[in-house]
Amino acid sequence: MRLLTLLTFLFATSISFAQTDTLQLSEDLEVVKALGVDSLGYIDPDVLKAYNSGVALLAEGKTQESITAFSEAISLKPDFPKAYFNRAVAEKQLGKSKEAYADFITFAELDSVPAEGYFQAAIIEFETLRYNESLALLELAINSDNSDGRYNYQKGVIDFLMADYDGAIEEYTLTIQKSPDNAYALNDRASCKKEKGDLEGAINDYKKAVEADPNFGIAWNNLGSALRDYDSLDDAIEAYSQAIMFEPENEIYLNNRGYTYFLLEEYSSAMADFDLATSIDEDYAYAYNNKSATLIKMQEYTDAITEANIAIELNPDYGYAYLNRGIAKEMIRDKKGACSDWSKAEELGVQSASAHLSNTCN
Amino acid sequence: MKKLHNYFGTILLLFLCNSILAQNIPFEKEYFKLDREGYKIAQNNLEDGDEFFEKGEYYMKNAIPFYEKANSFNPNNDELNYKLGVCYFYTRQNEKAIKHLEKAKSLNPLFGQDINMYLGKSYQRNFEWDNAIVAYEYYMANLLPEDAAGVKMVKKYITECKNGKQMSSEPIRVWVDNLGPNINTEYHEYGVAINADATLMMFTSRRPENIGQLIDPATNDYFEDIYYTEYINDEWTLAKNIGEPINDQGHNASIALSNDGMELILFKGNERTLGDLYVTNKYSGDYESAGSLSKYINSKYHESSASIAPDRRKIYFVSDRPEGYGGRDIYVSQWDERKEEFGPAINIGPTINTEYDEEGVFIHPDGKTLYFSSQGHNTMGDYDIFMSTWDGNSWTRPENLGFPVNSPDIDVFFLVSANKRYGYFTSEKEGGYGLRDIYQIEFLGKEKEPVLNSEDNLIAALASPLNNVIIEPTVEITTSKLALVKGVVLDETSNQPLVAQMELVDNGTGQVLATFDSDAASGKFLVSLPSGKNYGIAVNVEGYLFHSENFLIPEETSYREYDLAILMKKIEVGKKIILRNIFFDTNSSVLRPESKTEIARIAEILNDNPAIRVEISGHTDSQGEDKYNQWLSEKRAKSVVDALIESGIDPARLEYVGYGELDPIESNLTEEGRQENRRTEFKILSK
Repeated sequence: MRLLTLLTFLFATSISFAQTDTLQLSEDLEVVKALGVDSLGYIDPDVLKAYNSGVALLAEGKTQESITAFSEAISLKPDFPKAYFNRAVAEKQLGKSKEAYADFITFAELDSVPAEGYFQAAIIEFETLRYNESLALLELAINSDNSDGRYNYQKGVIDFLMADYDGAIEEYTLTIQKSPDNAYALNDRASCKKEKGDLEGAINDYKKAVEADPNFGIAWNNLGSALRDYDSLDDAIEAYSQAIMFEPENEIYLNNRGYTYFLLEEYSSAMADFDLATSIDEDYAYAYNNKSATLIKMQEYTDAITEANIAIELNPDYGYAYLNRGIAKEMIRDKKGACSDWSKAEELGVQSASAHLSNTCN
Repeated sequence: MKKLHNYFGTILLLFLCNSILAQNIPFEKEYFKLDREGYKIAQNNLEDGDEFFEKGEYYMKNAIPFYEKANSFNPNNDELNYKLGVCYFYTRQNEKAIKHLEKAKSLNPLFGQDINMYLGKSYQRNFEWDNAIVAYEYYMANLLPEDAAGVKMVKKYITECKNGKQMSSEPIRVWVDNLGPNINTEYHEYGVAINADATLMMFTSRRPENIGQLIDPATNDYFEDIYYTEYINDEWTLAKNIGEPINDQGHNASIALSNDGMELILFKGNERTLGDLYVTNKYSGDYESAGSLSKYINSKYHESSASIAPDRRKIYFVSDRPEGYGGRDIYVSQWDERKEEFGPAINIGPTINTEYDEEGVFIHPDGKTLYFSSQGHNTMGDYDIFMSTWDGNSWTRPENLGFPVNSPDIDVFFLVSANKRYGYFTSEKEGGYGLRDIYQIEFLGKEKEPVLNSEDNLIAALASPLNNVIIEPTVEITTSKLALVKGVVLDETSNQPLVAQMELVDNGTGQVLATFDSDAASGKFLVSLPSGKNYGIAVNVEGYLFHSENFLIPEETSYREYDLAILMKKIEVGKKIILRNIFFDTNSSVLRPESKTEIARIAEILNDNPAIRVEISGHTDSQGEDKYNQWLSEKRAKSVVDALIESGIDPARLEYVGYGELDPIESNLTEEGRQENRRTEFKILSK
């Protein structure tokens, strides 16, 4: 029975840390055949047939049909936790979160090791932004199985999003204790420290993350941003370059390195990175805005306006693009246009636009 | 071999030409045996040029064409090149001055010592700071040791160059625009005077269409006259001579215009006193004959510039009277209420005045910021423009306005608009319409920093990146801390403009800060209110109920403009006015002390019209209980009536009533509307 339980959950534990919001069904049919055996060794052939059919259909991508099959198995054997679990997986794939949630909870209530059911239900709550409910379920999961770092990790994510950085650091630390080379947890703990203003602590953790996984582009990028904020601009450029080496098509990393070149007043290099970012993602408004800012510094005001125009076209509520376009317009002596742009930027909450309006327009 | 021969031949020829070019060739017959006719013409040109040259700097422009002709005949004469250099120096053509002075020096390194001074000055004006310093040092090295004054002067010039080098490397952000052909001509334009909202400009010009069309032989230029232009539809209109009686056949120069443009201070040339300051007021659209300013201001010395403070209680002016710190100094004179004139002049002290000349004083409409030009302080050459602020006890250390507002040349007669965004100045810089032109300068303030965005995947497990928190650069608000109130006073029924007597009161102290009239022709008025006070403005026209306005301008308020149309109501039964300068604390019916002036005003109208009976009514907004509002409004009305009785008004002539929230004049849905609804009114019941 212990073996069966373990086998049943193999698919669940295969869920990547990076994909806590995605469920995958990965067991093969041979393994599933054994699932129809109860503790007394009785195999109800109808249950077995229905359940295995559900697994096969799910694997074939016939999700709705798999739900029917799992439901049939459940109708024949209402205390069959695995059928609830897999039906929940199928329901979730179809976007039926409410039904999936109910089945995961039923699984947790029926199974002797309910942790994964609570965990998956917690993920559904998390996805619907019900963070407190999600945290409560994660607590139940941890109480059920304190060896699995994923539950603490997920709690850390929620704490972070709720701006409880101390709580998040605690959970990430527990995750790291359970899995010392967990680069994700190291990265996220660093991010918590960064948000708290502990840049040195953040840099230290990001460095550990990239040591744990030298190909981890996200952590290299984040290390770059922390170093940039720490005014170690040359080191930041190096970290971003590492990130770009692993993910050369990542427009975010290119945009960040361009920003750092801007701070170093290396405007041509900045433009090259922003250009590359927009060639990768032609809808990337940030990079167009940053090009506009750089062109202002290069005193190429007409081109700066063109780039800001694109940023605004992509995001009509982009306050900083209006701010920058106004600055460029002022320099080509289109004061009316500049004031109109700053007025819009002010409406969108850009504080410096208010001062420009007061100093130049009113 | 033949090629080599040609090569050496060319080199030899170039060497010989160079030697000939570098050799001084005197204007003597024997050097021009082959062209006697040409020599004769050149000699005549030289003599004609000399005639103007010897008359001094104002005539040197006339010498240039003759000297240039002579120079085209013999370009290698040291003295002619020196004279051309000097002529170009005085006509502010610096590059040409440098070219000829350098040539003179190269032709004759032992030429007179002052060539180095002219060269130094020309380099300095041309922003060639290092060359200027070398020339000055060369000049100084040849001064006699006992010439302490000379050494001091040259050291000052060297310091100016160092100042200039530093300031020109850090230019302030401005746009500089020539005010265009409607104002500037090929003749001199300078001496801008402008009203506070920059809609009326006076300036001085020395153009042929002056009254009398005469040339002043002392300066070889037309006599000065005052011209005016108005800012209409985003442009300055074609300037017109302001005409007689302000202009006459002598020198008439604009000095200052009051904030509302109704009063003009001008300079009139006068052989007896070397020139004095005069004042004239506009009435029914025209300026009256100008009268001399106070005897304390005008003296037997030269008074050249003045500016009246916005409260009209002080006048700052420039005089070269001997009791100063040196040369021209800035003085201040206080308005004497009793004598109704400006009182004795006081030197404003060594923080502003230096041993060198100060000129072109301008007090900003905020009443606290003084602009002036000085040849002292840290000038980068000749007059530079400086700014100092009155901190309540003293003037702050003057700040040089920096390059390109200032240059190594004369930068003077500078003034700044009420919002401190625009300045006006005179310059002879290249690219103008000729001689001195008037320019507008727009201050852009500190560089506006663009803002960039970045984002990171802070949480590795989440696919969507998070924006980095943007910390926007701090941008300081730098506009004037004052409000400009302008408007028009009209008859409520006919909409005809009225001449109103207006009184500006500091409600905090009850002090009358200024009295002024609206323009008879247009009914227009303008007043500047420096921030940090609670102002009451009373508008009085005989036969009409007074009108009151209140402006609470907190200290931190940045520049703003109010535009009012004041409709005056005749003293007739049923007419009512809002008493905007009656103040109560929240939920209180006790009159605040700031209401005192308004109470006196009401008492005055009742005393002047003994037959009228009036109702004082209180009104609230709709917030709070109806009953409470009614009770509070009645108590407040009664407080006003009690104050009037206390000031001697017969109780039988007064009624009070509280309307609570029943009679709103604006929507109660907005704070602005509610504020309008909380009011006290005065209504004529019978007369």
